[in-house]
Amino acid sequence: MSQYNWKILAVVLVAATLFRFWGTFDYNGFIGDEQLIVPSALSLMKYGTTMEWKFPQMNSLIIAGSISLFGNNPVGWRISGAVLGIASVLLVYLIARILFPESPAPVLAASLLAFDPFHIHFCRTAMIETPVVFFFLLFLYLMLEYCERGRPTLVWAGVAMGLTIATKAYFVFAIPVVIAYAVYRRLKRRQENIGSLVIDNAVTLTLLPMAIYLLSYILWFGRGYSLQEFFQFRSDAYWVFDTNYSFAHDQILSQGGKPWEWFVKPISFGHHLFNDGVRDRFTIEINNPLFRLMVLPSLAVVLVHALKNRHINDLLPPLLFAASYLLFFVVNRPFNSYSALALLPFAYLTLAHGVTIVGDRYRCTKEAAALFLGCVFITGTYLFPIAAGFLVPAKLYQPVLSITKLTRVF
Amino acid sequence: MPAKRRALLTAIVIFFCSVILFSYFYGPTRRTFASRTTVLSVQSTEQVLQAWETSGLKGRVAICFTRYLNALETKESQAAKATELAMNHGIIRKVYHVPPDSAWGEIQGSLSRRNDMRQTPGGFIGIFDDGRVYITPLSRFTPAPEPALILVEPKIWSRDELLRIAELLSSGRLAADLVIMVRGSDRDAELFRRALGLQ
Repeated sequence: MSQYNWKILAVVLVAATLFRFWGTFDYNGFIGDEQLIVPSALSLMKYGTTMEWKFPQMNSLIIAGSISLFGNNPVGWRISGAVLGIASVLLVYLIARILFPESPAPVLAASLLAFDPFHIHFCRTAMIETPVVFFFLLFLYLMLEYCERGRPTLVWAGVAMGLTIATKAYFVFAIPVVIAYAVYRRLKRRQENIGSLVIDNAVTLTLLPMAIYLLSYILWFGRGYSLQEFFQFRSDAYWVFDTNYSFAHDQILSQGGKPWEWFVKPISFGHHLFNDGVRDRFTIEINNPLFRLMVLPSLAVVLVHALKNRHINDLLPPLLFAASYLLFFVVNRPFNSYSALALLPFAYLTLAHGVTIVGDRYRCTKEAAALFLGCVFITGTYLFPIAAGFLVPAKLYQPVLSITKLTRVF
Repeated sequence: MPAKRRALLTAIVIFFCSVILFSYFYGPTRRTFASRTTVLSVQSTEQVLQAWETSGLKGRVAICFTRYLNALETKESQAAKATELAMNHGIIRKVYHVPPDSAWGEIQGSLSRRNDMRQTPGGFIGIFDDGRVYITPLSRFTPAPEPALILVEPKIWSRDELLRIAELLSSGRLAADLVIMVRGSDRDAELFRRALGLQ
């Protein structure tokens, strides 16, 4: 990697850290789903079960761990989200560097996630989405190291896969895509025996994740439940999701848009918290329209480029985007807009690669990347204060506020 | 197969088998049972939770021979809360709610309209927190295969039905280490003490 890229990456990581830590622990009340997530973690510590028993328990274990370390306060509730959000930015960079070496795409993809006001907004609170995205990105990175560079990371990938499924089921369709890609690439590149490759993958990516998934319920087993009751418990959770799941806040659900709308129209809503005549405080969930609306066109660009040039590695981010998105259309339950966090890394990997393909086409890759990077930095820095709840002069944000559905809470 | 790879795969298989065995045995070892059987009489449903909490028992099956429970449109909210809290606190992990057959028609009608209840040949299954509540009339009740916490509300049962419940205990088909009578008479408590061989 050139020194130039290192410097930009350092700036991106510093910005990602600043945006996810600055003022995150100032507010002493629960934000959004923290009212469920934090009591669930406390219940897990005290009674071995969570309030949100339908979901796997890994996120509650992480929050319970950070509460044990930092106390039952905003630091204990939110630090894991901030740290794993920053780590996700680094992982997006490392993944893109393997898939698109010698290109500006890694820095662009990492910057898109680091400066994304939607990602920043949710990394500053305790959420299930932040850790599950981190674990899946870690799994993907370790699988790419295994299949593209021949490194012995398969066992660690199995651990990361176990942590992913023990947190939330967002990536049930994306995980097989990664495994199929890795097996195909490994066969192509290293001429391995297919039998031993299948055995390695089957044992490591089946038994290890299942064991980790079971171990994540250790506190629940401590309540006296047997293994047979565990299977009943998980089938009951599936039954509740499939037949009897209702979302308590219909207004938030409708404001966040349906899954098909997440990448095709601007979505912005939130709370107006304070006004002193000069400055206002907002917390706004905005889907970063300037870049989100470019994802589907870039998907088309990348697909055409990949098929034309027979570049299988170009296909991976669009395939993962599609496989992760598929879940929202096949599961019979409503989804809150924050579920779009599970799609962002692949959306931005695709967009970043699309920008470099277009730049290459017109022989201005560096210029296109620099211009794009500038837009990402400026947009992200501009939107950060209203995504994070800082005091701002409302006049400065009129263009955004004019498309925002605001609920006044003062 | 190279030795290193074989060792790694073997270690993963051993790890997986250990976790399965651990999951199989760990839960049952965490259940706590009383060293001797007790029959308690309480006058209010608030005292039920108190009795369960002070007993120090954990991870247990409860059998409630009562008319109302959380899973029903309850009139006795405190009794309902006692069961729910006991499940949440880890005292109870599974509940069998056994109402009288005379009330079953009304209960069945009410539960079959609810989408959070699953109908089974024996009755209904509901879910509280992370545990199951099996709702079944006395005539279809099959005793649990482990010692249970028993809650009886004598006033809702006929004398014959009470004798039948007591007979389940005396015959050993239903094992119990804590029987709580809610608003029962001394005569009812005596019946259950005799059934359990306590004098």
